[in-house]
Amino acid sequence: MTQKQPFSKTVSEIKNVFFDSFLGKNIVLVQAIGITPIIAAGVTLQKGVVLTLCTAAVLLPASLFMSVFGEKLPAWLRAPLYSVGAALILLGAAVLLDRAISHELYASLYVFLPLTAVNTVVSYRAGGFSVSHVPVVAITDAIASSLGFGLVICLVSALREIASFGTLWGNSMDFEIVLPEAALPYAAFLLLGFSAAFLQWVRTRLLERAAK
Amino acid sequence: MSKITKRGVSPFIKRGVLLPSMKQPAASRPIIDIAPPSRIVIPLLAGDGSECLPAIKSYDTVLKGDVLGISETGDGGRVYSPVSGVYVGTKKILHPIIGNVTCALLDCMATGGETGKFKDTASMSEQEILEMASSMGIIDELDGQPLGLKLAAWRKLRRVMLVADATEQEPYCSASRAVLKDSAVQVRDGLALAARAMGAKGFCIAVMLPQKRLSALKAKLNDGDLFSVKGRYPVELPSIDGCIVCRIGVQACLALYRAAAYGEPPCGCVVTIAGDAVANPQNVQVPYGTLVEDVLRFCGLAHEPEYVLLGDVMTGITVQDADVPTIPGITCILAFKSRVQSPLHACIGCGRCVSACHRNLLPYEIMRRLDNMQYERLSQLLPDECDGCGACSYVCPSGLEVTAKVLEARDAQGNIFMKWGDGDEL
Amino acid sequence: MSYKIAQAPFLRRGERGALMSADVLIAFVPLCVFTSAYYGLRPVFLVLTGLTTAVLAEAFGCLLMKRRPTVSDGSAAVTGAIIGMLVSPLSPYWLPAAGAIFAIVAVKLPMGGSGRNLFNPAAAGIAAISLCFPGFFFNYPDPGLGRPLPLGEIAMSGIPSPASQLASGGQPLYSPVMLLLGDFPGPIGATAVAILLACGLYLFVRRSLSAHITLSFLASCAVIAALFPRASGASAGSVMVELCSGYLLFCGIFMLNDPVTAPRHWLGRIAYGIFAGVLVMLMRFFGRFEEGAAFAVLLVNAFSTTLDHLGWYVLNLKRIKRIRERRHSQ
Repeated sequence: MTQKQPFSKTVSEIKNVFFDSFLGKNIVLVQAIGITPIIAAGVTLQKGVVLTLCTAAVLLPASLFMSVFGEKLPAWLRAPLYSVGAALILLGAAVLLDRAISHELYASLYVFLPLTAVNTVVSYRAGGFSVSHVPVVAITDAIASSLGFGLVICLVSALREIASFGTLWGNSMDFEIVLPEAALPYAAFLLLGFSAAFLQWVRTRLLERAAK
Repeated sequence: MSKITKRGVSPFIKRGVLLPSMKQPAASRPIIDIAPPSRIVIPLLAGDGSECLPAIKSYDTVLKGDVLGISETGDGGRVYSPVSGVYVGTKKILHPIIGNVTCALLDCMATGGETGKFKDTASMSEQEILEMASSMGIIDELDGQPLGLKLAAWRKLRRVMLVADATEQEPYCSASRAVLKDSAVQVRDGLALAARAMGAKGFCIAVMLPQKRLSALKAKLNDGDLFSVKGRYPVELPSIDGCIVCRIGVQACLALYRAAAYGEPPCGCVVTIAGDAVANPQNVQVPYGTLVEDVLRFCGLAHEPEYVLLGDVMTGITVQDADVPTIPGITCILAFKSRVQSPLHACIGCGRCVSACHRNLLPYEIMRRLDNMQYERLSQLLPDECDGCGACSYVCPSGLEVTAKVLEARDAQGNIFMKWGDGDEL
Repeated sequence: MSYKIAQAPFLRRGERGALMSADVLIAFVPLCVFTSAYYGLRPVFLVLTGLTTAVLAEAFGCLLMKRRPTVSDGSAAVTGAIIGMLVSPLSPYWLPAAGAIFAIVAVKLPMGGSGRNLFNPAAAGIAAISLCFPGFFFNYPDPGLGRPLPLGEIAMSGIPSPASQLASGGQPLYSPVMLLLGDFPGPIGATAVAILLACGLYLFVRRSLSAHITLSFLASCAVIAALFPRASGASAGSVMVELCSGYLLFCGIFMLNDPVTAPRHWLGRIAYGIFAGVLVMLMRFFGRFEEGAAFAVLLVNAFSTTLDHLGWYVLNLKRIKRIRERRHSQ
C-alpha cells in the first residue's frame, strides 16, 4: 500500500475495481452482503433511494478513513471507530430527512436508517477491502459498491412498489392487479434470486463472446 | 431345528427384493457332458495363485489327471490336466477374472478318463485332508478361492458351522441343485470331510427349493443334513444354532470327496448355460479351460447375443470376446440378445434402493456424493459394507447404475486422489 | 465376435418413473368425478387448466434453458394437477394457472429441474396463491347448491368452510357421514374424504405412497387435535373435524409423499411425518389463514435431508463407531 505504482496501472486497477464492485461482483447479487435493507425496507422507490444515499454517505467517508488510517489502528479499534463515525453521519442524515424532506418517509424507514451504520456493506467494504488498498482504489470501490447496491435496491423496490401498491414514486400507475403480498420479504428474496441468476447469465454470455 | 439370526433393523421392514426365477428349463434337464472341444486353454496357476511352470514338453500326450505344471514357489502346488490330449505350448492371455496369465494349450482328444481305485475316507486324518485339498488344487466355486486355504483359516475359529451353500438365489444358475440331484450323498460325504478337517461343530447343506424337490432331496440324505432357507434376495446366513456360518460350494465338496475317495484331481465343473440367446439352456459338465465360445456353440445359439455374461445376472461380468477359458469359479454362462433397461431419468428419490439394501445403506446418497465429488463425506455412509448384490439397481425405476456407483465408492478406498477423512458428524 | 460391455446387474424390475406419476393422476380421476357430481364440470376444467399450464411451463422452460425436456416423467403434470385440485371450485381460471407457473418457473426449474428440486413445487404454488389471493383461494361454494356452477366468469361468494369456522372460533356442525362424503365446502380435491382414503390405499398398494410418512403425519395431527380440541360438542369429534377439514388429508397423501422432497429412510420418514403434522396444526392454530398446510410442507421440506440422514445415522451409530475404531487402529 505504501509503495508507489505507475499511474496507468492505478487507472486500470480503478477500472477493474469499479466494474467488479458495481456489476461483475455486485455486492448484493454476487457477494450477498447488504441484503437486509432490501428485504425489509426496500418496498417503495423513495425508500430505496433514501437508503442508497445513506449507504453512500456512510460508506465513502468510512472507506477513505480506513484506507488512510486503517492499518495504523489496532484491529479491535477499527470497527467501533467507523461504526460510531457512520452513526454520527446518519444522525445528520436523519435530521435532514425528518425536518427538511419528508416526515412520513423517515417514520416509515424506522430502524433501517440507523441500521445502515452497522450494515454488512460498510463492515465488509470499509473494514475488509479498503483497509488493504490505496485510497483512490478505496474511494472507487465505495462509489461502485454504493452504485451497485443502489441499482439493486431501486430495481427491487420499484418492482415491489408497482406490484403491491400500484404506484411508482407515489404516483399511481393505474394497474388493475395489485398484489399487496409483494411487500412481504419472500417476494424480495425471489426477485433477488432471479436478478442474481440473470446477472450470471449475462456474465456468462459476455465471457463467451470475449473468449471467441 | 436351527435359528438363523439375521442382522436387521425391524421385522416390519422387509429388506431385499423378490427376483423372478428363470431356472427352467435348465434346472429340470439332466446334466450332460460337453462334446470334446477342439482346444483347451488352462491357466497355469496353482491352487494358491502361484504361477506354475510347465512340467511337460511340447507335443507330449497328456492323460486326464496328469500333472501339467508345478508351482514355482515349490510348495507343491500343481496344475492338473482336465482332459486327455496333446500339449501344444503356452500362451499369455488377459482373462477378465484373473487378469494376465500364462496358459497351457492342449489339443483335446477325450474328456473322459479312468476312475481311480476307491479308498475309504473315514480313516483320513484332518491334516491329510487339508494337504490333499491344497495339493489337488481344489477351488471353491462360490468365490474362486482355494479350498485348502479357506479350511486352514477356518480351523483357527471356534464354534463354526460349515454350510454348503446351494441356495442359488440368483435367477438363472441351477448348477448346484443339478449336482445335488445327481450326487447328493457324495456331496454330503465331502462336506463331512471338510467339516472334520476344519474342526467345525456341524455341517449342513443350505437349499432354497420348491417343496417337491426338497422332499426328493431329503429322502436321499439324513435328517439334519439339509437346511431350507426362505426369504428375499439376498438371504444372508450369518449364524445358525449360535455358530458362525462358513460357506463352501457344493461342487467343491464333491471335488473333495472324489479327490479323497478316488484320488481324482478336479477336472471341471457343472456350468449352467442359459439366457434368451441360447437355444438349449441346460447344465453342462465342462472341463476347465474350455473356451466360452465352445460351450455356447455346444448348447446352440438361437440368436446372435449382444451380451455374454460370466456369472449370474445380478453379480456377473460381461466379456467382450468369447475366447476366454472357463476357470474354477464360473458356474454360470449367460447369453442375452438384448437388455431390459428403464429409460434414464435423474434420481427421483423414491427410496426403493434403501428398502432393497440388505446391509442398511443409503445407496442413493452414496451415488449423489460420488457424483458431486464430496469424497470427504462419502466414507461416513459406509460404502465398504456393500457386497455388490445388485438389489438396488434392480429396483431403481430411473434405470440408474446404483450398484456400480456404490462399488466404485467402495473400491476407491486406496485411491490417492480421493480424500478419505473422518469428516464431520453428518 | 465382440460383445457389449455393461455393468451388473443385468436384470431390472422394469418399473418406469413415469408410471409413478401416472398412478397419482389415476388416483385423481375419482376425486374429480366425485366433485363434479356436486359442482358440475367447472372443477374438472380448473384441474385441467392447472395441469396443462404446468406441462407447458415445464416444456417451455426446459427449451429456454436448453435442457433435455423432462416432461415425460410426468412430475410437471402431477404438480399442475395438485394445484388445480386444491383451489376452490369458485376460483377463476387464472388462479391455478398462476400457481402452476409459479411452481414450475420459480421453484422447480431453477432448483435443478426434475428430480433435484429442494421444495415441493405444488406446495410452493399453493402457498403463493393462497398468500397473494386469499380472497379467491378460500372462497368455497355451498355443496347443497343443487345446480352446476357456471363454466365462465363467476361472481359468487361462498360460505365458510369447516376450517375457517374452527379458525374463527365457531363450531362446524357436520356429521361424520357428511364429512366422509364431502358434503361440506372445501377445495376441489380435498372434500371427498372417503375417496381420498381409497386413493391413498391404491397408491400404497402401487408403492407410490409411503405408509411411514402418511400414517405418522395423520397420527400426530390426530394427537394434537385430541389434546387441543377446537371443536367441542359437535356430533363429529374434534379429531374427525380437524382431519377432514381444509386440505390436510390431501396434503398427507399427495404432497408429503412427493418422492423427490421426502426422506427415503424409514426412520427419517416417520420423523418427517410427525414434524409435518406438528407444523400443519401450528399453522392452523396460529397462522394467518384457515389452512396453512402448504407452508408447513415447505418448512418441513427444508429439513427432509437432515431427518433422513439423522435417522440412518442414529440406527447405525454402533456400526459407524466400530468401523471408525477399526480404521483408527490400523
